[in-house]
Amino acid sequence: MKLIHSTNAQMNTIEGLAAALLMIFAILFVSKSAAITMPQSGEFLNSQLQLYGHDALIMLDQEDYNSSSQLKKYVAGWDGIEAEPFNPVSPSLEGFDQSLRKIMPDNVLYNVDLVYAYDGCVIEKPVIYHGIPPDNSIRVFQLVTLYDEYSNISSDFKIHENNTIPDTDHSGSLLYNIVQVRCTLWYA
Amino acid sequence: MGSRIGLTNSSAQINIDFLAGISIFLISFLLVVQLVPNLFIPFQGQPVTLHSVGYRTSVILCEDPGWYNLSNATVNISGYNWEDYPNNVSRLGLAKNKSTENLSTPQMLSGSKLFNLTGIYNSSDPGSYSNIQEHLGLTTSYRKYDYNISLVRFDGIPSSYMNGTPFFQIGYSPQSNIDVEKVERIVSFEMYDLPHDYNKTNFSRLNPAIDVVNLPISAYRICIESVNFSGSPSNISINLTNHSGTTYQLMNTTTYLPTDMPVILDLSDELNKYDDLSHKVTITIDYSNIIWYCYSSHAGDLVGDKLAAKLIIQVW
Repeated sequence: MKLIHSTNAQMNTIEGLAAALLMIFAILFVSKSAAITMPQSGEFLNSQLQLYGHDALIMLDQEDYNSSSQLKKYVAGWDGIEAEPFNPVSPSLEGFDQSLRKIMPDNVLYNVDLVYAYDGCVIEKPVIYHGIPPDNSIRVFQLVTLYDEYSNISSDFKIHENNTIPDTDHSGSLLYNIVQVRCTLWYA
Repeated sequence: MGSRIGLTNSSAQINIDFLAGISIFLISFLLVVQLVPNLFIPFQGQPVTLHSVGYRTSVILCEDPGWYNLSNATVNISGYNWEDYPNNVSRLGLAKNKSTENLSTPQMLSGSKLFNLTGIYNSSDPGSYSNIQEHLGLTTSYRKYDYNISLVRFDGIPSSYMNGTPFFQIGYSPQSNIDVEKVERIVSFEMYDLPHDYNKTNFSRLNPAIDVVNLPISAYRICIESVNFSGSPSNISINLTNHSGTTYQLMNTTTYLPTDMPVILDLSDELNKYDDLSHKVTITIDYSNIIWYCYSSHAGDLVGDKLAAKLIIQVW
C-alpha cells in the first residue's frame, strides 16, 4: 500500500499544518487586539450625555430677572444637609432636583455634589443622590463664586444659616468661597 | 482483467499529502475571508465624520449669534444682527446678542433669530434649503450634508404656538435606511421671547377670571405680584373644570401676606394630570385685593424665569 506506507514527504504535511495554525492564530490575535482598542467609540456614545449635563448646568447658571443665577441661588441657599440613599435630595435643593428631572430625558440618572476648598483640603458633599454611578458615567461641573455681600443685597438670595460651606478667606476681602457644582450622569 | 473504474485499481489516486494540504489551505482561507472584513469595523470613517458634523452644527446654532455682511457700492456694514438683513447672511447662529456688548450668551437663544430662520426656510426662493445648508457649513468641497432642525419641548411635543401649530421645524425628513446623526442641545429663551399668553389683573373685568387651557401644556404660571390696597385681606382660590363638567379644587382660598410676595405658582404639571380626550380644561380663578398675572405657553418649560426646550439637530 504505497499511499500509507510511503515514507516520502511526511514532514511537509506536519510543517504545513504547523504553519497554517501559526498563521490562523496570528490573525486571530491581531483581530482580537484590534477590537479592544476601538478608538473613541465609547466617547461618541457618551458625548450626548455630556452635552445634557453641561447644557443643563450652563442654563441654570444663566442670569435671571430676580437673581444673578438659579444655580448660585441654590448653592447659597443650601441648608447643609447631605444626601444619602434614604434621603436622596437635600430639602433645600428640591427645586434644583425638579429642574434637572424636567430637563433630563427619562433614561438619564444623575448625582450632584458640591465641592469646595477650605483650610488646604478639598471637601465633597453629596446633595442629590440617585444611585451608584456605573463605570461609564460622565462628570461635568460648573464653578460658582459666592461673595460676602449677598447677605445684604436681597432676602431672596443669601447664604443659608446652616450652610456648611465656610468663608474661605480673611475678613478683608469680599470673596466668600468658590464652589464646584459637580454633576455625575449615566444612562439608567 | 481489472475494471477501469474499479476499487481494486490502486493507480492515480490523489496523494494524501495533497488532500491534507488543500483542506488546511481551504479552511484557513475561509477563516481569513471571514475575519478580514471584521478587522476594519472599528476604523470605519463614516459615523465619526457625521458625529463631528452634527456637533459642529449644534455649536454654530446654539453658541454663536451669527453674522451678516452687506457690502456694495454705497455701504459696507456687518454685524451679529443678521435677522435684520436676512438677504445678506454670511453665517447663521441663534444665540442671543447681549444688548450692551457684542457678546453672545451661550445656550440662550433669540426668538427673533429663530423666526427669521423659519422665514428664510419658508421663503419663495427655491434655493432656500441649500442657502441655509451653506450658511451652516454643511456644504463642503466633497459632499453636502442634509439636515433637519427642530425645537421640541421636554415632553417630546414640538414647541408650538398657542393654537398648537409647531413653529420651528426646518429641513427634510431623514430616510429610514441611512445613518443619521442626532444631537440634542438644551437651550433657553427669555420668557416673553416665544409665543405665549399673558394676562394681568384687570379690575374692570369680571371676577372670577376664567381661562380655557389646551392640554398638554408645557408652561402655566400664576404669579401674585402685590396687594392692591394694604390692610384688606388678599385671597386667591383656583378651581378646574374638565370637559364632562366635573369641578376639582386646585387651591382652596388662600391668604397671602405682602411679605410673601411675589408668589409664583407653576401649575403645568398639575393641569396635565387632568388631560383627557377633549384636551381642554377650564380654570376659574377667584381673587380679591391682589395684583397678579397669568402666563402660559406651549413653546417650552419654565425653568426659573426662562423658557427651556431642546433643539434637535439631525444631519446625514
